[in-house]
Amino acid sequence: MTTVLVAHFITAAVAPLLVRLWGRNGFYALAIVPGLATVWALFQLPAVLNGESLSESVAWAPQFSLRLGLHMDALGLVMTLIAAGVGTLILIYCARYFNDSEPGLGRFAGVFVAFAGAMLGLVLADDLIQLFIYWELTTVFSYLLVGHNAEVKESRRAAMTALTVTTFGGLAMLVGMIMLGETAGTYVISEIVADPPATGPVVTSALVLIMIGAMSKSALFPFSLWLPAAMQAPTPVSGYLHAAAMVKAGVYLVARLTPAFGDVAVWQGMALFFGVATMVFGGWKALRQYDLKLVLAYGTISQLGFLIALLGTGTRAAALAGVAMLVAHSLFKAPLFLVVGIIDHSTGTRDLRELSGLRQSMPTTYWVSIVALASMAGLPPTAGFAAKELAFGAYTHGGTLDTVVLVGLVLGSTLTVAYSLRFLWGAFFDKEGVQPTPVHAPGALFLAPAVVLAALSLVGGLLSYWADPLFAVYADTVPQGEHETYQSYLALWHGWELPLLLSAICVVGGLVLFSFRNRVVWLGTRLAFVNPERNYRRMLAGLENLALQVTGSTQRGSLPVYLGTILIVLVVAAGIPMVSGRIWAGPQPELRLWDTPVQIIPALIIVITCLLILFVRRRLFAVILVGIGGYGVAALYFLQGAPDIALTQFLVETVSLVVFVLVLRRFPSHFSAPALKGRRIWNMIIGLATGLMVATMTWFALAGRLEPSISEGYPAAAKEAGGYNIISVLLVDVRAWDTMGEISVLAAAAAGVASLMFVRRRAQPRKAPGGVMALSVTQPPSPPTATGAWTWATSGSPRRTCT
Amino acid sequence: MDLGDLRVAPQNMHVKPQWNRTWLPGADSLPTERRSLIFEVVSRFLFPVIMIISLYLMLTGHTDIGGGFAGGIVAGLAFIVRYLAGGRFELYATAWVQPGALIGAGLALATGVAIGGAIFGGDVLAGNDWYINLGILGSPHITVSLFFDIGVYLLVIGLILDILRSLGARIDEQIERDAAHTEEEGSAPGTAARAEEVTS
Repeated sequence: MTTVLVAHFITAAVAPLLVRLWGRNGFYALAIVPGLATVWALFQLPAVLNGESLSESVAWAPQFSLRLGLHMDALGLVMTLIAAGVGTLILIYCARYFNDSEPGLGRFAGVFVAFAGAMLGLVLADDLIQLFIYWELTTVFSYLLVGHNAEVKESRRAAMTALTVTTFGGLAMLVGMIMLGETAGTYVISEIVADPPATGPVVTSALVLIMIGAMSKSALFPFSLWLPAAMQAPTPVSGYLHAAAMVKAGVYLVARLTPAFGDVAVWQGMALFFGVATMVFGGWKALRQYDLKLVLAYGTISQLGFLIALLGTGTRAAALAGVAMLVAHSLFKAPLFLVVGIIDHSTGTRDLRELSGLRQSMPTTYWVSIVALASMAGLPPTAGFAAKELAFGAYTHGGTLDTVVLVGLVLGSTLTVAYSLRFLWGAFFDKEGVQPTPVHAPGALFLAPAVVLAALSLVGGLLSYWADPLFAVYADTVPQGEHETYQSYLALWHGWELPLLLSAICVVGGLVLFSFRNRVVWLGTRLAFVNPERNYRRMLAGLENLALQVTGSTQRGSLPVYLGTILIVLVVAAGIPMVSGRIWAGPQPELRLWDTPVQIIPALIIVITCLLILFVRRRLFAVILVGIGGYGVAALYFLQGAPDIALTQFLVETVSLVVFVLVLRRFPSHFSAPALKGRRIWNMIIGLATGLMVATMTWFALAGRLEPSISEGYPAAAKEAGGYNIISVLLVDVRAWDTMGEISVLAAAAAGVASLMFVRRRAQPRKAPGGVMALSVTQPPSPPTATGAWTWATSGSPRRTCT
Repeated sequence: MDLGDLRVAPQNMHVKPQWNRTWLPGADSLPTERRSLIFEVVSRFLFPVIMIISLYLMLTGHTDIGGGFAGGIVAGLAFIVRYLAGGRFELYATAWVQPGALIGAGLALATGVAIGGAIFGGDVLAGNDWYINLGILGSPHITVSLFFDIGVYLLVIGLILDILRSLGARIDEQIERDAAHTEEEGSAPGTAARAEEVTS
């Protein structure tokens, strides 16, 4: 498994090179890697069907009980097949979707393959922290993919929205994961699921946070807004990220944890409530979209709600239906996105009001869409039908809650049928008053991935009975619901039962809704009271405003206030324990006047300069006096027998003196007198208190030794390191780690000095090169043709044109 | 000629060292009243001496007083003296290496020693020492931490050059620009601006 992941990331690294060499055909080479991953996953099928699971684990940071663990069971296998299989087909599709001249194609290819790798890592990770890392990787890569057309403003904004919303959820999830991991005593997912921690307030809040993460990733209400916005992405990205892979990450997480926490009320409740609500609202909103891609986007939101509701229910039947629906959804939603891309490519528009007559001009695309839409609407004999039957069946013989959910699901499915019809009608059928759209026919290679996926939708329905064992391996990990009397199974035909009737109701209801489509659009627009886009923007603006207010009210830019705050905190924080601990009652160092009488000279110099500083008014004098004091301290060091420290102190003092003088050139020559006398007294009090505090601390620290000094061992350590100068050996050998840290700080400080002191204004208006303006001004206005008028109107300034 | 926007003098503006004529070539761009012949000559003489002292301090650090940090500061002081005597173009001509490159090289060398220790010595920053026989030159005592110290040395020189360039040369530029600006306006604000330039 590690090999598969590493192969993806290596391929991602060389992808730009391949695309540069071979142009868009490089995507065929790139498709090999996920293709091999798919084949490899298929080979694991027999073992997984026997209930075995693959595990790999490497210790990473044992002291934090972190490990790199991969684990593949039935759910992991299903997700691997989806992520790698659909990824392969979409890479093949990319090779015909893009032109060789597409800007940034190499980067796109690399990021796309890296995303596929991250997605595989996400579904195979066996560690909560590791899962989070892959989770955030997919977020970052999706940001790059959605913002592929970086020069378009909407594209950038959509990428940013997706990043903000999913990262918000991701961070909430991280907190939840840490709470869960700490309570369980392990971060290994398989161990947590095998032995879930007892429910308590901590576990409950952890589950809420994790569910928020899953909901934001899977674009559930109220986090749905990023998915429609992300439709700015190139269609392959939508087909992969927003149908098969990334949005399934949240669904996967719910499916992963439901066997352990499916009986926790808050988990079940959130999944059911938000799932069903999203399913209904998303479907309703899809009915009034005119962009084919947006119809699919809202449809995807609706289906994701459906999936999370099913997988979060915590009964075996619902879990089986959920995982079947998960596969079916990938198999019908991805080809539909691909079809939209093909239509966009062939006709130049995605607006269903402009498309007409494509049924005749694009027959293959039409039939592919028919199959995929049938699966989406839940018509036999497709995979979607089998899964939906099972989903209805999971709630038919339950209590009140189950019945409410069932009503919601039926309503949502009715809407699904309606927007499927809307898509079909909008994309392919003849419309009154619209000319048949001119089409240049797509090539066979362009169509092939969509054909394969649609065929799989069909085959998946016909052979659903054989797919059942694989899904059952996962579903068996979820306990049966209290009302379940028999083990449900996936099949195309269950007999004349309630689910079949409900499916029929959905189809009829969908047809009715479709026939009143114009009124539905009108009603939907009238009822849209909440504009999530606008709310989101207002929320962000409010946040920025708040940040501005907080920064403005705490960072006033006054050096005296900053310094005063720091010093007061020092005095208070150090003073309270000193006073409350009665430091004066403790041991005191014995008083010595001097070690050698020579020490009096530097000591006197220090005292005198310090006192003088209080009275000078010129900045330069103050700086020089501080410097002299520093030299005095250096002399004291030397007299104490520390020549190395004395040398360093001398040198640093000299450099700082020079730097001070250099800076002082830009300052007023005299200190400004504080305007208020009270302010001045206050400053003096702060200074006095700090001085007293530091002096007292130093004095009592001399007697405060509790452990024997470690400096006894220094000579031996220095000799071992091959040196005689203890200080130097200490710096570069014994405690070299400290020095490493210090020089890093120095490097950062150097960067800070250069950048903070002289922020260059980039936006300075530059003078235009001489001559250009004059030439365009003197040029006579171009004749009032249509193009000439356009040039003048749009450019806003006269532009030089060839005459 | 307006040199105000230049951070580094263009190649054709670099004054080529001409030993028979001038001591500090960059000092020619200074106004005459700011130049001091004695200072220029002395700083020119002192520069190599201080540099050798700094190298000595760095190399003897392990057995005697000194070390990379002290050596680096001494070398920095040599540049400071040269800048004070000859102005910013003298600084650019003397220390033509970008400070960022020195800082980066120093940090890279120190980190390289640390990682090398992890690879060869089994532990990050693992040390070792040996003697190299150089024939009649004796056999100096080389330690791994010497290379670490060289990294520190380079980084400190880079730091001081960075400070000199930003707080010294760039402020020079600002002052010159402001002076040119006030001359253009030639009115009352000029006196206020001039009063700000306290020392130089």
